[in-house]
Amino acid sequence: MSLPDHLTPRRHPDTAFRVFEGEAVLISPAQNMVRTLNVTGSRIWELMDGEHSIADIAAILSQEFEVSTAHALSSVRAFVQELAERQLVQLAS
Amino acid sequence: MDPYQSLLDRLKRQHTPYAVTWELTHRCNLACFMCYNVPRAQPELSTEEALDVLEQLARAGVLRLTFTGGEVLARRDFLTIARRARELDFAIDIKTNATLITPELADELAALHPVEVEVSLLGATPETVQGVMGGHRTLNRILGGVRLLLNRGVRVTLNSLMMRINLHEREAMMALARELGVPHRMVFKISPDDDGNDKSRGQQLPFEDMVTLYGEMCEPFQPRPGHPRARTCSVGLHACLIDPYGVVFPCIELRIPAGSLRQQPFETIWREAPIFRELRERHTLAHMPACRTCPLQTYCEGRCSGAAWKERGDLYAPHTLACRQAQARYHSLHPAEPIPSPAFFLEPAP
Repeated sequence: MSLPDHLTPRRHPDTAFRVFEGEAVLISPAQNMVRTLNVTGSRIWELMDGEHSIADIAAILSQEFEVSTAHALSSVRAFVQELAERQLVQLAS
Repeated sequence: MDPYQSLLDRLKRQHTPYAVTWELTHRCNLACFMCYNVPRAQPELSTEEALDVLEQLARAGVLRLTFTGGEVLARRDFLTIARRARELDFAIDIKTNATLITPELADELAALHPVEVEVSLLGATPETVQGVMGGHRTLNRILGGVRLLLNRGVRVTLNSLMMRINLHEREAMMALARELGVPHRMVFKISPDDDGNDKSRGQQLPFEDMVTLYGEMCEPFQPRPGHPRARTCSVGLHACLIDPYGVVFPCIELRIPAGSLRQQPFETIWREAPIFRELRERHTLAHMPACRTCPLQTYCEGRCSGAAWKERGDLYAPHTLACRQAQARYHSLHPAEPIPSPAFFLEPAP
């Protein structure tokens, strides 16, 4: 089941990160994990500030990466879902 | 290649500061006899100065931040600084002796979500720990602090500097770590003081014990030929040290000042300090003729320019401990063969 588009994902507060030339490095002490994100993933990560909804993020991505809104929405949903399962983001209505 | 390693390699090539070790204070509630800190008669960075440094480090791209001392928890504003570091999305590590940790402080430390808290364990009996670190009921207090952290889900690693005085308790220290369910790291390098005074040299492990330890502990070792462009470590490329007075150094061992944060911005020091430029341009085997031609070069892993600087006054020279360790590694792998002498000034190995 895909996530509702009005949810606002927020980076988990225990996760540290920095973006190097568009590529994010995430360090999660709780998950004992280091992960790098590609340019698109990094942009989504930056936008997961608890203020932008999934729909907002998809709209921004659609503009910045010149892809259809539907495609952006599908990518953002899947990415947020994956990060939520790994407890790297929290979801709020 | 692992994408994270690939990114780290890129950051090194680009000289992007990624990791900073920050000695927040040289004050300490204990008195380890081999402590290398040399406190200076000047004020340590104030809270305001430290918070400003954090902002500068975040802007420069630093992600990994290790707080150490002295004893970081002896600094009353430690939590203020560490909380701000987390707000700025640093991944923080904390090095502590753990003896000052109360239940309330453990709650606060857990709320910081450190990647790791590294606790020094310098013996397994009260007598040995007391002999090394001083204090009162020190071992009990260390273990009490560790348990408080573990109960709150903080990842703890025990770190043991192996010396003549505590080597006989090595197994017992490992057992303590197992009992606590935490990783145990052993280190064999006793550093001279920051000013080069090698007061604890007599505590370095004897050669025969190094051989035994390499034989027992080390992962399978493959001798590796050193290319002239190879670096013996990545000093100056993507990490540095800040001392309590705001002076930036290439690393915890190499105490050649790069600049003071009280006088220059971090990014200026990082990009322009002569010592960083020197290390980036020249810190390769090509500039270490004695090491490059040494018959033990492929067995040498512990060469440290900071140690060479303190011992020989030469960044590119060999130094005794690394040569001894290379000999010990060779002997542990080839016990029946004569031990080559490094192209250096050592007396023959026993």
